[in-house]
Amino acid sequence: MDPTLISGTLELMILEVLANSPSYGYEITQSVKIRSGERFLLKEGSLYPGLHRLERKKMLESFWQQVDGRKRKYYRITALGQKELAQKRKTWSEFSAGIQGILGANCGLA
Amino acid sequence: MDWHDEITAKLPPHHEEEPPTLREEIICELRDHLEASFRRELLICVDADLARQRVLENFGNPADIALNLWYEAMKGKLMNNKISLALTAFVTIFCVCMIGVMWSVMSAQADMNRTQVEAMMAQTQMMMEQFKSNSNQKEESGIASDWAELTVSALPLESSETVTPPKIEIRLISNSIISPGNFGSSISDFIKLQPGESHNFGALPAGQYQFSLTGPAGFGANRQILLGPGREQNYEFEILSELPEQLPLEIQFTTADGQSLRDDDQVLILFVVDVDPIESKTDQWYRSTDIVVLTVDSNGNVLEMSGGKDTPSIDEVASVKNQKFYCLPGKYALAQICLHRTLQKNSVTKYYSDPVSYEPPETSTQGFSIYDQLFYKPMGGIEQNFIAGPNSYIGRFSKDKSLTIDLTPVLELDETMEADRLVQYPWSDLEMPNMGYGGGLGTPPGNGGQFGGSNSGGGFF
Repeated sequence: MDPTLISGTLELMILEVLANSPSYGYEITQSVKIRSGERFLLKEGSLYPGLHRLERKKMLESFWQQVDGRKRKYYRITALGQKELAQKRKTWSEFSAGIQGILGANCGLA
Repeated sequence: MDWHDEITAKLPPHHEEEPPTLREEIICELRDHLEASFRRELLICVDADLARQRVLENFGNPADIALNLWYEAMKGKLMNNKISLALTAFVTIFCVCMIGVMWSVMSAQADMNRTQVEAMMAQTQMMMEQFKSNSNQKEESGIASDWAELTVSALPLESSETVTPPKIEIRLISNSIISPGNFGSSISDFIKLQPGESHNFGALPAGQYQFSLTGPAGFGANRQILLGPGREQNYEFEILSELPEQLPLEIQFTTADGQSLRDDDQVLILFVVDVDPIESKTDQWYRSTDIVVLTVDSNGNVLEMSGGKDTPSIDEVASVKNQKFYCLPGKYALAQICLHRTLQKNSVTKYYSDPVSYEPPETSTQGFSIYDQLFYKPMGGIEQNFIAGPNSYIGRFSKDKSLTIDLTPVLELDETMEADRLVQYPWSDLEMPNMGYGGGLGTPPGNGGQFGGSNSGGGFF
């Protein structure tokens, strides 16, 4: 998939994955991969800067857990993150509907 | 598998403002991700190296990601540092520039000041050298350089028509060399000088002084001088060496009304002598204005002659010898003639001479009257016998010049009190206590010792 298409949706996908339960980096990439039908593969080079950025914006908070002798960093969404997620969902729905409308008119989907 | 080296390969050295757990958290988080990913790949491909290779292919360069995370976490602090650094650099550069500008300005100012100082020093040096050269002579003689040495010399008088060459002692009295601002105090003793002699007054503070010189016959001169600092000054005075030859002046009296002089008539001749026979090179000698009072009887006999008490040498100026009046040749001799005639016991008529111009008319002194000297407010301020107008003769007596004076009655007193007083003391109305004539003219003639009353001339017969 053209990576430019998911540009600007990284934070939306991270917040959406973390909306239900805390998770960590590798699990988030796997969740996105599975939930997108393996259409989206989050590159770690983008994921972790995104996670840290949302954490600095107070939309995520983190905590550490010991797993298999290793320290693992978990992220969970904050109230501010929930609010931001709702706003991003709405924006995306409008955007998606618009795109869908455009694509459906040309492809007989509308 | 340990991913530590791959993760930390590009991490910068520990930064002083770096949070203590930042580096460790980045390493732990990425290592957990790589380890989880490796275990999953290992389940698929079994070969650890291949699994490791596939993990790195999917993950990307862990060193770059770790560096990116570290930089993002430290960006704020690093930016602050950069801003601070830039600000510091800017301030430093600004300060350096300002220092440079100030340095150049101060350097230019210093150059200008140096030039001015050098010019001032050169000027001062010139002044000091000039001052030193001027004061060298003073220093050699131990005189302070800001004092001046004053020398006065008496020189023989040059030939003159009216003055013979000097042959007698000349006195130069310097009795009022005045300290500046204190005129009137003498700072030297009387000094006698022969012609050709000099006197050195020594070093005196610079300032203004005044000479008061006295020559023979009461001739004197005052002269103010200004002594400059550090300079030797010499003054030369030509001094009247002896009395000029006195000239006979024959005076005849006639009355305008044709009356002849009676035996009891007395004629009072008043002279104001203002002789200035000599002008020297550097000063002008003068004879202080003085009054000579001459009393003669109807036969021309001189009964009395007197002068002002301030002029002890008045007898040297004018004298009466062989019943003739002699006066010193000079510019001026002023005469006023007064005839005293007792008409009856209580009545006295006075005749005064008319004002007559005498030669040369151009030397006449206008506005000066002998009455200003003798008759002005005598006797306690009561104006008596005051005759306004220039009742005076002013002229230059020349040799063998005779003077004929007409007497005209201009005033008649008929007051008993006044007449009694005048009969008793015919000259008392001429007494001038404030003028220094008190007693000198107050002796009635023919009353015994009538010529002894002069306070200065002392009588001549």
